[in-house]
Amino acid sequence: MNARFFLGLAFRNLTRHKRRTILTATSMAAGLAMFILFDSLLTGLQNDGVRSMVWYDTGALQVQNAAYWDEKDSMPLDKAIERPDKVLALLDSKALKAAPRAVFQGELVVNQDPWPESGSARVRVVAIDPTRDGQVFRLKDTVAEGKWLSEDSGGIVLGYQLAKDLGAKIGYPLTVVARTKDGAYQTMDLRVSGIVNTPNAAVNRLNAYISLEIADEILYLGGSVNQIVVAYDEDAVTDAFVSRLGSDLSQAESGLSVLPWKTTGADFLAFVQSRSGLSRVLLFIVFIIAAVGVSNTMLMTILERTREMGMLRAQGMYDKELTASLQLEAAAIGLIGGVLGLVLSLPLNAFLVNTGFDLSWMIEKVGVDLPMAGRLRGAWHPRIMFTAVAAGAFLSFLVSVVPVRRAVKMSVVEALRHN
Amino acid sequence: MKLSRIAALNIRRNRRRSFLSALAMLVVSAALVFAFSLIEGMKAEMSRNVKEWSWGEIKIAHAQFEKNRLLNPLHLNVSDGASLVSRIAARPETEAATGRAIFSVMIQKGDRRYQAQGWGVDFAREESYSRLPKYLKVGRLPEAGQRETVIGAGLAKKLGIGVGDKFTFMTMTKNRGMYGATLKITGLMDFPVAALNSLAFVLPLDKAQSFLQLDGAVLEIVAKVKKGNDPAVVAGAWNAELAPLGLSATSWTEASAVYYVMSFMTAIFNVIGAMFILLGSTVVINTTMMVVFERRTEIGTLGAMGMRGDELVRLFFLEALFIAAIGAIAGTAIGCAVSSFFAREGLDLTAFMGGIDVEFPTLLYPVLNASSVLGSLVMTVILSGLASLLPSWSAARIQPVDALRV
Repeated sequence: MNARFFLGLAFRNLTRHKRRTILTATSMAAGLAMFILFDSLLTGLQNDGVRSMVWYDTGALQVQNAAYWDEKDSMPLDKAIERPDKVLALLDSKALKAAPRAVFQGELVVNQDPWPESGSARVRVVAIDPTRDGQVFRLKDTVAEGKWLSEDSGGIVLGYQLAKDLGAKIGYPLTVVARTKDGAYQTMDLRVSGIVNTPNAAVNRLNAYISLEIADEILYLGGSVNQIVVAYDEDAVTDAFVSRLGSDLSQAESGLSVLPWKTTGADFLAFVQSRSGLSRVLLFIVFIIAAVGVSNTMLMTILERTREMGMLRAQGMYDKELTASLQLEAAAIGLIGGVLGLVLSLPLNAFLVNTGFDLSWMIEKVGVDLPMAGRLRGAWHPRIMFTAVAAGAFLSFLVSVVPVRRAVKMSVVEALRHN
Repeated sequence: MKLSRIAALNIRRNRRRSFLSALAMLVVSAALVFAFSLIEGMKAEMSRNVKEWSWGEIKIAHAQFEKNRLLNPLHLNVSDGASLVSRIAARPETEAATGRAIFSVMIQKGDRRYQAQGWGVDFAREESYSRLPKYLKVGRLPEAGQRETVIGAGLAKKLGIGVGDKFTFMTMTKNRGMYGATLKITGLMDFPVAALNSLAFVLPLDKAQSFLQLDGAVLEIVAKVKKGNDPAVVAGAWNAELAPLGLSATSWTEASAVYYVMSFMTAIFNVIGAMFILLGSTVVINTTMMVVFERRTEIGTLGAMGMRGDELVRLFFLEALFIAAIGAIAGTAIGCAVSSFFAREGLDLTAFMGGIDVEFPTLLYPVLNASSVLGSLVMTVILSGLASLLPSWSAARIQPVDALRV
């Protein structure tokens, strides 16, 4: 007998017991689809965190002076990239979008009238190049009031929470006290020109943005910056890419290092990761439940057919042939169910990714407008999807091995008597 | 013969099948109980952290303090903190209360400066409010009146210092003068809140008050209410008394941003819980339907021997119910046992984090909650019973001859 016969028999068996095939395959499909959707939501939750960091705070890749990282907490301006123009030109030649930034500690000093109170607040001042920054960061889209910085603006843009805490309105004057590149204290008088409300709470609370031109002039930067942020697909950043870029950049300036977002955002990621442990445990439980559902229905299907197998053997079918055809059938059901589950999960997941669950109705109304959309979204995770389908088919094949072997070991008479 | 007896006999007759389907119910209910205890544990941890550390359940502060918080307004304080704390703590609805002076500082180390947060606390009262001593990782707590401190493990690592070392910080006093002080580290803290771990150090309240020239005042009083009290209502009642003193009490449910984040996370966990229920139901329904469908011949035989349709349906309903009850009760017991084991020992999530090194404890303590335990038990049994209805009903309706033919 040839392979075609087995295929034919397995296929005929599938169509002969339509209801059984459908039930087993549905069980597989439901378990698989749930697993995919569950993973999608958990991944989506994590991606949201990563994106709010990469898009508004760290960027995908940062070029820094190699000595900067050790002292990053004090954001020193003297551990600088001295010739950012050369580095930028080199990045441009590689078609990588990049933006220079000078980031430093500053004190915002405000005085009563027009401000509600006099005092000062310590902030992170980010001096940006208005034309280039928008190619890397998405801050411009989050302006809640006023305008984003432009080429000629002498304004300062505040994070939403910072502005709210200070009672800032567009046009209010303030003074920024900061240290120059050499460490001397210097002041800048600016007017609030905009307020950004980003999905990143730290940015909203801590950051103030000014134009790099002003910072360069007043803090005597001499054209230097302490970061060049490179836009890149965050999922595609590999160690190899980072180190290659690092060595390429040494042509432009020596002593630079390239840091991926996983490094620059380590503190924030630790927070996200602390949840990912729980996600994995939950995902594992989902897998257990789905696997039990699948293997149980599969096992039952085969056990219920002991008599049928006895019949086939009584008619002269060899054990090997019988085993092959049954296991083929099992794998086929697994595959059908898997593909069905995958197909089922596609539109559902598209909904999760594009629309998501609106959770705002579950959240008690609070009297402020917050940047979080109150939406839980999914993410596409193709690797997991295909692994799950393959694992499902394999699992249902695996589950069939023991009972089939047991059935062919049974004497034919006994099998025929089996109920 | 009574139907329930036939059902019981049927279950015993085909042991393997009964065992398999009971096993499915067992795994589903054990997994549901465990998953829900994890979710409840996460929710409990989140709200505990907010109430004990990041915000407080009810916070009493100067009415203008929160609005001007960023400007470091030490003059907007709660004067004579100790006596007000005692008064609040003595109220029948209060479970615990304590005064705190939390202030931001700069720590100079070599030519680098680090931002940090000083927590002036009353260690005796903190013990019952936030169980602070429990989070001491090594060393001992500072003594009142001494220039000593315990420091977040992350901050210590950042500064490159440890127990026995000293560090100097600069801060601004109530009168807006600069003030520097040197503290000796007597221990390291594992704060349950990640942010505090890399930011905060804890010192005796009296020392903080003297550094900041607070003159016996605290910056905030945090209070927890006894079970059964709504913190918002309690805060409202206290406000009547506090307003004339220029103070205000705010429940954490009114601290919009905090509460919003909390309820967003809670909502996410509820969605996850709902997905678990959905998945569990499909397995229960599918297994039961499978079992009954495979027995159409048997149903036909019983029908041919004169059993009525409604009796048949009831027989299979009872069978499914019995099997599910056995499986679900055993599963729930196992789920409870596993959860309570981890509730005691803590579940170390680092093992599931792909070797990422974080600087704060990642033990999660599952919380068993009666309604989710009973819920998953009852759900499994009832769903299984219901799922038997459709196939047995359809099988009972066909002619015995057709059913017998397979």
